[in-house]
Amino acid sequence: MTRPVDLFARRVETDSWFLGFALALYAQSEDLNDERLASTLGCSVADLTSLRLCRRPLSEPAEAFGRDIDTLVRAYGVRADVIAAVARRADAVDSLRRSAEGVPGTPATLMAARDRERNGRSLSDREDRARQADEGNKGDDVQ
Amino acid sequence: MHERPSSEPDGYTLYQRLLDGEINASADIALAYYDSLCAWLASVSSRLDAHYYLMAVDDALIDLFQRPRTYDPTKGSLLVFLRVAANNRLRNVLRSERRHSDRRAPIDAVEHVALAVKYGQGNIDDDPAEIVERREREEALLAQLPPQHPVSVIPNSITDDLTPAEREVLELHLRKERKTTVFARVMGIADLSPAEQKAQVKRLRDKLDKRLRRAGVNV
Repeated sequence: MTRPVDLFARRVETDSWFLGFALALYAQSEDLNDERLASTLGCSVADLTSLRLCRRPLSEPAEAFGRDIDTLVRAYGVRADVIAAVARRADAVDSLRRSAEGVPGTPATLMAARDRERNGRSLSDREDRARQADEGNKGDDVQ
Repeated sequence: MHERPSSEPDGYTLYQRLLDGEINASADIALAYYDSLCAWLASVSSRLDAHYYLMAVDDALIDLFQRPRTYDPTKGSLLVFLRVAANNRLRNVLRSERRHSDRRAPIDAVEHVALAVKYGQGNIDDDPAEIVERREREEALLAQLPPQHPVSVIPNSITDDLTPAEREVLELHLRKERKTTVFARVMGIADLSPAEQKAQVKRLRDKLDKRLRRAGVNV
């Protein structure tokens, strides 16, 4: 029977603070229903409610990530490799999403900044070379 | 399967775990309090649709999880804090419903005219009963709104150092609530004996009365 708290656990799937967000992304990308998700994780379907209501593991520092995964393994008996993959996948999707939104410090914006810098530098290099060539040509004309 | 916290959750320990950043503290707090918060909210604000309680409890818990410092354990139990927070959330939800309803009123009037025109042209594809029903639902909702928060109009000197539970008691007191059980629920002492509940409620109400009298507020 579905309890109100089970519905709460489903509602937090849209909030990236919760592990439910990561589990929903993973289940969607792997095309898993609750039964198959639970079996992949190595826990019961009932435990999915608790898991969804947990905080999402911290991606950094690495010790914090490891500690979070250990706690989940101890508390719910989930497979460490699977729950770590669930968290990492959500981190990757989150990072891409933030890049697409142009959040400073994310990969896409850093690449764009590097591109701008590189283009800027090569443009001024070209301008310098053109100027030198012009001056050289002027010198030729004088001669 | 993970063991659920007992029916008498140790709020302080759960809160400390949340504060320490323990990854599953939020889940344990939700499992320990969710159902009882919904039941309590339903008991103090009857006649509302269940989804309003659920929404209010969801918001109160999510708020605590993401901003745990909003709760000060020295000022009362976690249960009382969550009850007050959920109750405040419920009021906000109802207030925003009322604002939404107020904004929609002129639109409804326009719809009525449009429907009348459609009727006149014999080209109706909407049921006017739906509009009337919707308006009746909104009016029923408005009727369920609690009266204006009386605490908001009394001097800050009375409420400044009150805990959330004490503020709630003051509010009930100003609304002329008389049942000890209602006060006891808000104060989180419902598990005490009736005599002890009565004594604690009386002590707090006397203290609040004294403050109100000093500030010249007539109850």
